[in-house]
Amino acid sequence: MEHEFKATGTTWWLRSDGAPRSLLLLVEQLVREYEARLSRFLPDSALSRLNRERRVEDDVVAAVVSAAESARRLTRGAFDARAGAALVAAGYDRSFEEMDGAQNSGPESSRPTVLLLGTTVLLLGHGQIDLGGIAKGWIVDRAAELLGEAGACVVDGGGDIRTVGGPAAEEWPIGVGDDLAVGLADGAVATSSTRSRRWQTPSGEAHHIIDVSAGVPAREVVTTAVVVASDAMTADALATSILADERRGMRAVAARGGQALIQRVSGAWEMTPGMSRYLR
Amino acid sequence: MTTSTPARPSTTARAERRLLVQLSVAAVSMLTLAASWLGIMSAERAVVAQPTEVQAEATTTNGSLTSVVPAPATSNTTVVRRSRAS
Repeated sequence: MEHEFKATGTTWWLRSDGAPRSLLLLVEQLVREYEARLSRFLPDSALSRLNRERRVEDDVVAAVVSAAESARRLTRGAFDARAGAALVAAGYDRSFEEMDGAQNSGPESSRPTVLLLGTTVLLLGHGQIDLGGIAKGWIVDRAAELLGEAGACVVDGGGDIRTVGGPAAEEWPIGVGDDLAVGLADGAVATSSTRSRRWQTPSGEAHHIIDVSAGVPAREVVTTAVVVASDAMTADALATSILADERRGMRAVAARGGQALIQRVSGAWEMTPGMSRYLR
Repeated sequence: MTTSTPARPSTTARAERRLLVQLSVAAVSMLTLAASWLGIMSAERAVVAQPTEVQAEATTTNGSLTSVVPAPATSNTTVVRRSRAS
């Protein structure tokens, strides 16, 4: 059985051969509840309160912020959820569906210091948190855990895909890149690209991958990154980090035992040697 | 007392010697030419070899990217879903 719906500014798709429809609807509800807490575009979300009031007590925000800080350390700063202010300055200040051109206000490199005290998150200094892709990956993982109770399943949250294999660890064939496919039993794959979520500004075209130290959209060396990892949240963060800084991103992929397929500005595809294990 | 004057080489013998000299010169020229041709070839081979070495280096510079997917990269596998950047 399949189920599709819109949430988190993208299309979600669920597939389970053993789950009743009620469980698929429950997963959709779960996704919406997490979105209500983690979106920076909803003024009443816990994340928006954190950015506005510099303090929030919320177990979900605390969990994802903690994961984002781990990803920042893993990628040596190539992935950094604290670059929210740079995204706003680049013009990405509302849901992408609502954008029709944007005003940009130049480089913005302020990043807050994050303090985690149990389920309380504190921000010190200027800057904002944007949990965008890593939150989506985290929600995909939670959705797959729930849906996986009914057996093998696939959860796709806007390109972040988590698979759960059946009793015989059957593989799910998942398309990646232009025309390639990977086989995943229990695993995840995520795709990030500077070719999606682009917008016009008075000073030219911008995209959503930020060079954190410069506080502006990153120079495009790799335009698309596909990462296979054990979970969707990690795969998403690693794919984003490769676009922001290829060298640091690829090191992080290797450190986590992941695999990557990348497309350069020239259009050429390259991949890590271990990626061939997954290609079908 | 009689003296004998060495017999002058015949015209045929002189012609043979001249031919031998000419053949020797030609052989040396050919060898020189062959040597220089071989030299050019090996130099050209060195130039041709250079990009291969550079390419091999380029694919290992990153330390992790060693495979290049041939274009167009395709798979005939039927997929249940495609991971697309959103």
